[in-house]
Amino acid sequence: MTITAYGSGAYRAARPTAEFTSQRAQFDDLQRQLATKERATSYGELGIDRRTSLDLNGKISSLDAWLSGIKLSTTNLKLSSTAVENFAKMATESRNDMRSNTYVASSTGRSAPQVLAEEKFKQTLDLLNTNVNGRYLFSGRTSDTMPTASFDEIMNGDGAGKAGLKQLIDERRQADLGAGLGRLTAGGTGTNATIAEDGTHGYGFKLASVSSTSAGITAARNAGPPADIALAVVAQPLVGESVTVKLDLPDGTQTQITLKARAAGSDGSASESFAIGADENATALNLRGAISAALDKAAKTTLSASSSQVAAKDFFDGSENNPPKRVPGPPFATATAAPSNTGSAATTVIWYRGEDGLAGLPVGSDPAPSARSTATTQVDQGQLVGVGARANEGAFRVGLAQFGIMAAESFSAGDTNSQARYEAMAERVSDKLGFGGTTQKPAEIITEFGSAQTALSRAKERHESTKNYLTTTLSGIENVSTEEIATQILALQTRMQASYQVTAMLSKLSLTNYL
Amino acid sequence: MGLNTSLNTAISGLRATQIGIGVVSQNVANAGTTGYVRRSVSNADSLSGLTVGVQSTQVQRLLDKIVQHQLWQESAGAGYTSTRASALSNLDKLYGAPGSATALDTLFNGFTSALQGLQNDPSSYSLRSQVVDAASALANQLNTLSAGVQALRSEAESGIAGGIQQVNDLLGALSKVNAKIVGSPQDDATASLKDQRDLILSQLSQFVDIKTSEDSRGSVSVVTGSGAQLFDGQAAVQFSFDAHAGLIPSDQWSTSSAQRGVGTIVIRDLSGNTSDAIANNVFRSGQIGAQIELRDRTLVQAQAQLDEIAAQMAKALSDREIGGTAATIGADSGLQVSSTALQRGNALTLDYTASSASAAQRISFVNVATGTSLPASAQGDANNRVVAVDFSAGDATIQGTIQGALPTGFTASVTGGVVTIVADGAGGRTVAGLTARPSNTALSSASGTAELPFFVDGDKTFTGTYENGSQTLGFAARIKINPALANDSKLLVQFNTGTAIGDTTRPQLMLDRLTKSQRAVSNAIGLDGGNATTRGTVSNLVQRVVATQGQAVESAQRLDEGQQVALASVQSRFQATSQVNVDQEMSTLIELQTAYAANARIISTVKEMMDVLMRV
Repeated sequence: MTITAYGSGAYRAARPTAEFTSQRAQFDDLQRQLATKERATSYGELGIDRRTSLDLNGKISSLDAWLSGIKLSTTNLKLSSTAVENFAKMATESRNDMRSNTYVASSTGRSAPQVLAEEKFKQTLDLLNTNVNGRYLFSGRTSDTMPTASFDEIMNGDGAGKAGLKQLIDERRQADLGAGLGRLTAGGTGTNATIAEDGTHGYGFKLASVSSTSAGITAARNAGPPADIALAVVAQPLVGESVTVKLDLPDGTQTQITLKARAAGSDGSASESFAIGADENATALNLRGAISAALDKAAKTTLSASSSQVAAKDFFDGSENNPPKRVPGPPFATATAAPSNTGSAATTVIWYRGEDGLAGLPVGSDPAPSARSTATTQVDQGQLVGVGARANEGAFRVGLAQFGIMAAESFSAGDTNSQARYEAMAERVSDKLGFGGTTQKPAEIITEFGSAQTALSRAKERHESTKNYLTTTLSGIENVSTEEIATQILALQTRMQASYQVTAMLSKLSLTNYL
Repeated sequence: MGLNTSLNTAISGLRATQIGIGVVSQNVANAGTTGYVRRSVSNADSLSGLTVGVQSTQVQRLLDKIVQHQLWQESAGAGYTSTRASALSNLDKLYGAPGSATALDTLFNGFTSALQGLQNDPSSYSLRSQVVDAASALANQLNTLSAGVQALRSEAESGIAGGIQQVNDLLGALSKVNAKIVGSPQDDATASLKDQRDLILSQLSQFVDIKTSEDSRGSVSVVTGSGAQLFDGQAAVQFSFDAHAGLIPSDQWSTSSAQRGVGTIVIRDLSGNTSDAIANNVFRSGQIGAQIELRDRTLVQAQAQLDEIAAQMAKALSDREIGGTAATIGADSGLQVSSTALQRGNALTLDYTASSASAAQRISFVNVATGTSLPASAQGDANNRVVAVDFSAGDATIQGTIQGALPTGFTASVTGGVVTIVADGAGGRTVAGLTARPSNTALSSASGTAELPFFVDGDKTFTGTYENGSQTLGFAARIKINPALANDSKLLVQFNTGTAIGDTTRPQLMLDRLTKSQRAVSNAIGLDGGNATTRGTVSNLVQRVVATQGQAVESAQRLDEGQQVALASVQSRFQATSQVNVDQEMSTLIELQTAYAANARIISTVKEMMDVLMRV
């Protein structure tokens, strides 16, 4: 850095030159401003407004980040929402399919709704595996993990020692069926007929109550446990009088067998009636036969359908930190211990592989932390909108369990119990797919997504208007208007022209010229 | 009076006129010469015998001494302000244009925005790499800015070297000219020598502020504004400067030559004694004064501000905050916290109220090895005291040091590294907070916490240690993103082995620490000229640094503009007497021409009269 050496001679020339240079520099700066529309090239030049500029730039940058977050979330949310809507539609369809009597004996053992259910099962898995830019929408916090196992693995196991849904249903069915009467024993001698539970456990039928409409047959229930029922034919019953035994099923439903007395020699279903014999002993014998037949039928139909429900529920309740419960065994038919998930992680397919929210919580904790909070979008300084979802939320579990049951079951055309078993299954599936009671409904998830969507779009509107305002303010600080600059350039141009001209004139004006 | 007398007078008139024309022609010829001062001739009557004639007594330089001295003063001032303004303006440019992609605040905003984005989907690879990219860009910009500041310092260093060289040369030249002036009679040639001398002095005045005085023989003596004698008939001193090349932030000036990383100016007087010109503050103004101030203060502070940004950013992300739990000693109650995790440079902070009338105060106990002292920049202030404690020493030593720093009514106890501080409650004395702030040095571990060593110091972790000099000094030049993060961006999310990739804990913490957590900013970096610890978020700090820097540049430029105006006004006053005006010279020429013609006419008239006389 040197300063122009002064001295009278140097200075005379230097002064106008310095002025011209500074005007020229000013001119160049105005030209730059005109071209870039920016007032300053550094914060130093910006003057006192630099604090505002810094602050506004910071705010706008943060608004931009929120807006881009909202944009991303909106797309994800729409896809999640569509997936749940499709799932709800499929559940409703299957439910309707099951309402009418759709059983048609077929060579494959599967009716049309069952075939459809298998497709729906696969489709639901696809929906739950929805992936946007590598992010699985239904996987909780582990959004890099595909949330569900494949259809084949879920149904049939992984072929390497881990059991699938079909095997769990089968095991449960064996455990519930026991020796054939649903873990009950029927017996009695003389005028007596007895039914007893075969032990204290949660499998098979449970004797709930017994009643008789006949004065000739007495009925008594011993609560136990294990409970038993004693019937005694003390006098011949009249035709049409009946004995009813109510049985509790493992899935919480109830069934009953009603045996009507019919006249000797008349025809009747062996599992619904008994013939009045020659004496009380003969009648009791018939009654005992009828009880065995009725229990056998109920065990093969309603109890079987109930077993499937329990097994499927246990299977789909399973997740990484809460493996599915399984019947201890083999042998399963005599199992007495309650189903447990000890060690089952190694032996059973866990269909849901995403984050279950149970990490760090005691096993079996319920409920898991809200699925919505597993993915959040920060839309404002303090506002978080939950947009997450898990494939193992209640609604999906119920839906998949029902689709799975329908896909897993088969009804042989030659089996006389097929129709009844199918109806028992249909009744349960239809009931469950209604998402009654405290079960989470697909609509709840859709509603939550909807409200998240609203929160996002409100925040978006708010941010956009704030951003507009801030941008306008900022451009008032950092930018210049063309008109302003043009006027300044014009004024400067006039000034420079004038001073050039005057300087030129003055430099010509010397006495030397007139000597 | 006879004819001869008239003739002689006319002849002396002719001679005087010729001298006058000579001066005019010299003036006109030198109208554009630097340092030339207009001259004039004064004539006087002379009397030799009975003859009265004209005598050109002296060629005078027309100048106003007072204005000339003012000019030299202002010229030193202008040298100072313009050097500062131009260096600061370069610094200002480094910070980037407002809102531009390379501006420091834009890059910082980019980093926080990327973190904001990451919270929405921590599992997204692109969002994670955006954070890594934005952080790298920010770290790079801090490196670049730091390099720019150091380049400016190096420039100042070589500026000082050049300036010192010039001053020595000028003093040498001055000696020669001065000797000639003293040895010559006062004539036309002396005027030229004086012009030359003044030119040398005016050049000298750009480098250093000087005062001159001239004795009757025409010999000058020069002293600096600070009173140091530079010249007295001959150069009184010789300056030397040991310039250092390629300065880095830790190269700082010091009175001790062993600790000095930059050059210093040594004055050697005629008897060979030396002294340090910077320590004695000899150069207060002029270009050299400005370069010294830039090198040792302004730019060092700019570097400190960048270092503070880097350090605050690194510590905000890496330091855990372990709050104290309630504890009692006897009847006194307070808080306790373990100090075992504290690394060198980490702090244990105590927030307390000494009486119900006083404001909340803080003491930071910084972990510093015994024998290391805290630098002045880390001393805190009255309400935020900083005390050095060696937490690796035994419990008794720690307890002793802490207790020594506590006000009356407070008791400290240390057992197994657990620090307990209680207050007796009298007069409103309470322990409001006791927080250990250890740096987390692992990115992820089995029982990891969300804090992370996001930024590292070259290949070391940054804890702000004071061992072997403050780690913060020059950190901006070395800061970079942890290479492990760049290799595996999942670590931005997974702080322990079980962390799901969609977990927002760590991204949220990072954003909050940078944009929401209030941090105590060292008073040493002179934000807003305040001397108290400033509180604010890291975001605020970045904005304030940029704004403060802009403000400094603006005021330096304003000062320079003002100084240039002052200089111009003195220059114009100086010019009024000393400038050659060709018009004026021409009119003098006409005047002299007429006088010459008149004198010649007289001679011709005398001749005619003589002729008439001879014919008689």
